Amino acid sequence: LPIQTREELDMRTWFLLALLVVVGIGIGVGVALGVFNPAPNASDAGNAAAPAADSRMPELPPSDGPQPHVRVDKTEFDFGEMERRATGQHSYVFTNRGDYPLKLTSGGTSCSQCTISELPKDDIAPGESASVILKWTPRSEEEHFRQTATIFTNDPNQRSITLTVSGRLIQSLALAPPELVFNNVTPETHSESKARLLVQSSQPVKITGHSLTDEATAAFYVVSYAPLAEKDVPTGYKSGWEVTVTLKPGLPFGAIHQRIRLKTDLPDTPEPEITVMGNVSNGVSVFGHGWVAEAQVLRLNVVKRGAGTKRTVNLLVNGPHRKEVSFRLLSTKPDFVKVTLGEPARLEAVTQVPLTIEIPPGSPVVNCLGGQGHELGQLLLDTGQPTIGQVTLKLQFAIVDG
Amino acid sequence: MSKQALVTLPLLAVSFVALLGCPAGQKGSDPPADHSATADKGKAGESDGNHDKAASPAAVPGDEIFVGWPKPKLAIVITGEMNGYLEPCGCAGLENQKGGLARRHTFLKQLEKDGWPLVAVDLGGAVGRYGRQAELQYQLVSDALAKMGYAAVGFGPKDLRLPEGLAAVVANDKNHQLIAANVSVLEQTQPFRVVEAGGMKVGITSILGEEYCKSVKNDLVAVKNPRTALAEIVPQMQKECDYMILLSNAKPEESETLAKEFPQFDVVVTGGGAEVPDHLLTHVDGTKTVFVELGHKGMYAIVLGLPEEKDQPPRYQRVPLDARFADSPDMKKLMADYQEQLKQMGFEGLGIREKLHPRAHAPGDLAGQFIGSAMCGECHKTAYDIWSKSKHAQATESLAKAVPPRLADPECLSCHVTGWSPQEFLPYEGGFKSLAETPRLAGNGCENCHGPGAAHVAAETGKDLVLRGQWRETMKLSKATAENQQCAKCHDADNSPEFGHKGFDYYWSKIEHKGTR
Repeated sequence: LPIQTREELDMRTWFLLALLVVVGIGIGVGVALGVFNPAPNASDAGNAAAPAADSRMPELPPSDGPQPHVRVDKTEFDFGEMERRATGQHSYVFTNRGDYPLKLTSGGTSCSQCTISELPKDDIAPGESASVILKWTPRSEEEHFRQTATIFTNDPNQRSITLTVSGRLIQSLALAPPELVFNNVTPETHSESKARLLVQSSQPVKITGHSLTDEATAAFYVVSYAPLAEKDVPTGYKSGWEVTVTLKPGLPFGAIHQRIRLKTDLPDTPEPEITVMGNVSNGVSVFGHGWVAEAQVLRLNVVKRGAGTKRTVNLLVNGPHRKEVSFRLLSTKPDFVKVTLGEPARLEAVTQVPLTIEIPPGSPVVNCLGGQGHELGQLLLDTGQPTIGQVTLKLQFAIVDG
Repeated sequence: MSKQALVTLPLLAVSFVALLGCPAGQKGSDPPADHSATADKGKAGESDGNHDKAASPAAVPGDEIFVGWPKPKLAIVITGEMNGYLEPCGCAGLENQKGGLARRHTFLKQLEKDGWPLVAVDLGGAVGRYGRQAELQYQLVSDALAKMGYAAVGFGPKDLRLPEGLAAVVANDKNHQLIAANVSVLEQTQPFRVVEAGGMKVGITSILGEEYCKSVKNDLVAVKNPRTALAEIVPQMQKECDYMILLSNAKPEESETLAKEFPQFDVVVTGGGAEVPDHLLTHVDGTKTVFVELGHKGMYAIVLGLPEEKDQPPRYQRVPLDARFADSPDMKKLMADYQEQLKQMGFEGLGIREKLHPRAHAPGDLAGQFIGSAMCGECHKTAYDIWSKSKHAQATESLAKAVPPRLADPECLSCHVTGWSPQEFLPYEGGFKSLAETPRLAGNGCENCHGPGAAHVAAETGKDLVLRGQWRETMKLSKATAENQQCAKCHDADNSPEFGHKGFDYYWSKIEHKGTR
């Protein structure tokens, strides 16, 4: 190696030292900013979550020269109240406070209902400003909305900017609630529920008629409507109607599905639709693993003869006679099926009784799966209450050798 | 030691001091300077890359998470309002859709693996519909949340409509995960729960908003005024807890009012917010209470990172549950079991009853009967050719090929077969039953848009020319009707987000057919 002069040595030393200081401080700052992901325990979640750099991002300027510096006056905008399907727009002003041209590209939006309709095509010169316009057409049924749009930049300190739009949707006609539920309706009684049709505009609206989409059960529904008294109209609405839906006795057991379309004299407005849901039962319902309400069947599936099986479900009794019910086993089919009725829990609105069904180990091989001449098993219970009478629970199972 | 080394070493030490002096990543240290994910909305009016880190929006390129976070003293993970969206269905490509229990579980496991002290809470709102399938979903979500170790779960207004499913979940709630101050299900619900994590005692309660209380019509459920209920339990919670969370199943306006009336809560999580949660930390106006919206359909989890210093605000992160999180095998198994249950129960067990097509006047009416696309193709050869090459023709096949197959799931079938009402998840009379029973109705066929074809075919083969002409008119579908009424029944924002992006014309070009050929 050539002999170095004292000056050369000093220069090298100082250069090396300066480099070390820069590197050390750089690492320190990097750690502070999380660039090097120093939190050892946060690393996996952070790394797993970090998406790769996006190809839509504009190229960065050379790091040793002038830089752009983006500034946005306000990244959030509240549209306030908006009509559903109306289109709103807002202009966000981007200013370049740096000394290198600022480039913007679209990073997409959080939903199709929000679009970046205008993005500066040319670079924003230092000291200049340009607008990014977001357009928003709410189609959702929800009252509140918030969507974001991402703008990528070539500012190394802020590679992306999230613009947010938010607001509240109003509609000329609103149903509260839009769905009516009739839980555990008994076939012999009337049931009633109410919804309100609320009107936002000051122009009076009249319900002129209605139709039901499920014609097969339409005869069991009575729909009536009356204007709401002024005091009953909630804040934010000008008027309203009370819609009463009554179920007549005779609906078949099982699920209720119906839709009631209300006709109004408001032009160019979709017909408000009340969804009616629920179920018709005899006042006694069962819950627990394997219970199929519509078929009134408890599925025990295939049981090995040597092992047997045991299953506990719960009987729930609602309706006016719930407190008078006292279950008693009348019979089982096949007769080797064992049944234990637990202590009833008499709650305010329901009576709950645990019911354990056991197929003891060593029971004979049998097919009670139903179909093709194989009858389902069953339990016959007396409720001790004359109106409800007896209750039959079907059992679906087969016992096989093993 | 050389002079060079003598000068170098102290400076090296200075460099390391600079390194060690940086707070991030050290237990008990101050939070790092980058507050990009913790910016207070109240101060976040403007964005300035260099000077106001607190006002920076989300990190590059918008969806990174936990950038610059040290290990928090405690991480509170908040979810809810799944509305029945147990998984992203993948109709529009899994990479485009967020949410799902399987991704959520993986995310939680990652935090756990990283050693973050965790408390996970769920607002409730597991289901969005009513009926047997919703009951199964409610039970599945409850099982899943128990498996994921959730500390507390509230009741959404639609959860409380369920009869047997709700009873079954409450009966199985051995760990008393389900909590509510003003709701009691089968008289078994605890008003609040206290859990210990990260050296803190965290108290969690939930309420059902006043407006929602009015619409509860379920014999299993008793409700009382949320204010009265909170007034009863808050003093007790204060005694027992260092940190208090209210899960408020109410609209944001009501939740905010409650937050002001009960400032003892550190966090209020509200229901009924916007589809997408805020990406910045928000406080209730004039208070220190953190206000959290969750977005819809369980697409996001919100994480609050509590710092070591009590007087510091928590860090905030909106976590999009997107494809970066792999599916958890445990949750995938639950989903497979769920599909098996649907299959076992069948349509009858699920309470799925055929309904008349709007064109039919009575059961058996030809006007409401489906014939299948192949028969349409016997006359309309060009249209059939276009259809059979489109994705509509493969719609049922895609369900059969899914893992697990979704051929027993009415929520999938309603848009993937012929002869169902897409928005009601119900078959029309004579609509698709199964690949074995009704193979001709596989695929999203001609009759889903044009209406049932049996009466049209009968008219074509009959002698009544007037009737023939009438049915030809009835079967026509204009582009305007397709755009305004028909396509969006399936291509909605939930299941076809790209439809809105690319627009009707883009999709129309894939299936466009004119005239009678």
